[in-house]
Amino acid sequence: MDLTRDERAILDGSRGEIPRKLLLTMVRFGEAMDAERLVPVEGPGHLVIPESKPGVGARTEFLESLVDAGVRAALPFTADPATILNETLSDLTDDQRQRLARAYPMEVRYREALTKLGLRDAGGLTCTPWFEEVANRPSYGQIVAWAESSAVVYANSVIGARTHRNPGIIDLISNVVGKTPLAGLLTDEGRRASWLVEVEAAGPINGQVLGYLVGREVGDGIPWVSGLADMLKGGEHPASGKFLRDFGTNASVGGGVGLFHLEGVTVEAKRYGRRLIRDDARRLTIDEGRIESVGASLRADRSVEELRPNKVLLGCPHLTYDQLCAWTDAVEGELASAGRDRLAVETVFVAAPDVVSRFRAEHPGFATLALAGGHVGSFCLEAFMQDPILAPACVVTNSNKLRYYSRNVYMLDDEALLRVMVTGNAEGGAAPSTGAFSGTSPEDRA
Amino acid sequence: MPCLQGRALIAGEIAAPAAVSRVGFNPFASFCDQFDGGIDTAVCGDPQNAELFGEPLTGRIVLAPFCVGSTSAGPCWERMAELGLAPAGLLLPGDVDPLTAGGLILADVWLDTPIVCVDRLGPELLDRVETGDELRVGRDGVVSW
Repeated sequence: MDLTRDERAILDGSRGEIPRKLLLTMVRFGEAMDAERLVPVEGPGHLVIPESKPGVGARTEFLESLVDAGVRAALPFTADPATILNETLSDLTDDQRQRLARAYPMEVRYREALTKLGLRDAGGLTCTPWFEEVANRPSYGQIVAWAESSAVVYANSVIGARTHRNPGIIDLISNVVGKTPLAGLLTDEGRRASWLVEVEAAGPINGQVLGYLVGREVGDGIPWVSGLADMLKGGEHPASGKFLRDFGTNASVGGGVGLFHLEGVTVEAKRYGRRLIRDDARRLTIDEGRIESVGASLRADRSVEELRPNKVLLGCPHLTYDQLCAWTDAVEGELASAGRDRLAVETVFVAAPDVVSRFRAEHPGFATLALAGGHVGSFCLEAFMQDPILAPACVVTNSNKLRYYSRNVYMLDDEALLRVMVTGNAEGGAAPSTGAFSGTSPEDRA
Repeated sequence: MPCLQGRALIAGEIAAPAAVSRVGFNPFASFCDQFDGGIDTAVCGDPQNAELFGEPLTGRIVLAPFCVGSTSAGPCWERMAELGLAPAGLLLPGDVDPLTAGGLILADVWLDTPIVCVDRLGPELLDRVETGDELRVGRDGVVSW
């Protein structure tokens, strides 16, 4: 790699051991990707290491050593959702709270250190930092250093910003050093499609199913996907935003996709057209039967009556404000139809703290939802399900990401989930999916 | 003695038995329920990896076509190195991905605990090595067995 005179001096220890090791990490990270050089980070970061849990966050001592060395990100960063420690889940027992406190003994020190290193504020703890309420949205072409797979793929593909798929801790180091390697997804050539995926399906397509399927096929390649522009009306269809979030999230779950181009829809695909496809791109055709088959395989393989779920979890990744409102309206309507005032199964909706604040302030259904036993929070459902202290015996959701990374999580259609929340059963809603959405679920409308 | 030459991303000399996955290796799914330590050997806990699920991985050399999973891979590799439970090495036929590279570099630079990694070994790697084969990896990126 080409290093500046200043960078070489830092690597020689001119500013001390911590700056030397920070820069050495970035240089070696760049060498692994055959980077030409390091380039400045131009916008606020987003980190995947919000909590002190070993193996999930950074080591607290490591963060504190950076603080002691006077290190701090020039631009305040956001980070993934916080732990559940401060949430008020109604059925969390005292025993669970005590065990949680013992499981996270470093949490206060960890948060203090992360704040001193540049964490923006508690409102920025979400996996959807680009939402307008959170307002960490890079501009087109801007170089940033983000982690969190679903955020990275959205920033690259839908916004057109440029970020590596940074691993946790490397995300922090990039932002405190203020540099990231010029390679891969940061370069014009590295953003060209390595796969041409032709989707041949007549009806509406579920973004989660198609994204997961494409990810499984292309691994960490860059797919150019054709055949969706009409369905999404060039990105102007009201459900396009949800489709793009679902597709990207699941392409990164199924494989390791950090960037996708949807022909006639995403920003660079519109700007550059098929010039973005590499000459040696591999080809893949996906028909309706394949989508239906994969969709069915993701769905719950037994009836709700057999599952007897004890929680409904929604918001992986975090819900938008409109989705939160749409779910609330739907729950109110279903409760009224069923002649009930309480939910039959505890239901948790999670969204960014700033989204939840807006919802509480602006949506009259918040009180109804709370009175009915619904919980609105901002923690990470994935972390919740992976925590042996917290994980319920059986959960139903509409998130394939949550299903993929957790045990005892089953997917249902939104309509079925609504019935489970309110009545405790799905009345046949767990039948195998056709892989297409009906366009009538709360989330489709938001 | 058959051998392959690759790029020594994390250089080191090791000799250990192979653990071969012919699907993408997901470090987080493999190790996430073992972050608390208190064990002598980490086993692959990823039920979606039929070949390695339940296989001991500590001290072995993992071979996979590529790695998959979330951006939590960085702290995951570092944690397994900190606990002394990491594989001895990781061999890949193609380019290492940024998530894996970052995690391994963190363990090497900040914990001085290298998990040897050689990438760009070519597609024949996974055709010629079986789980249990005794492998030797040199600092120059030569893998022999």
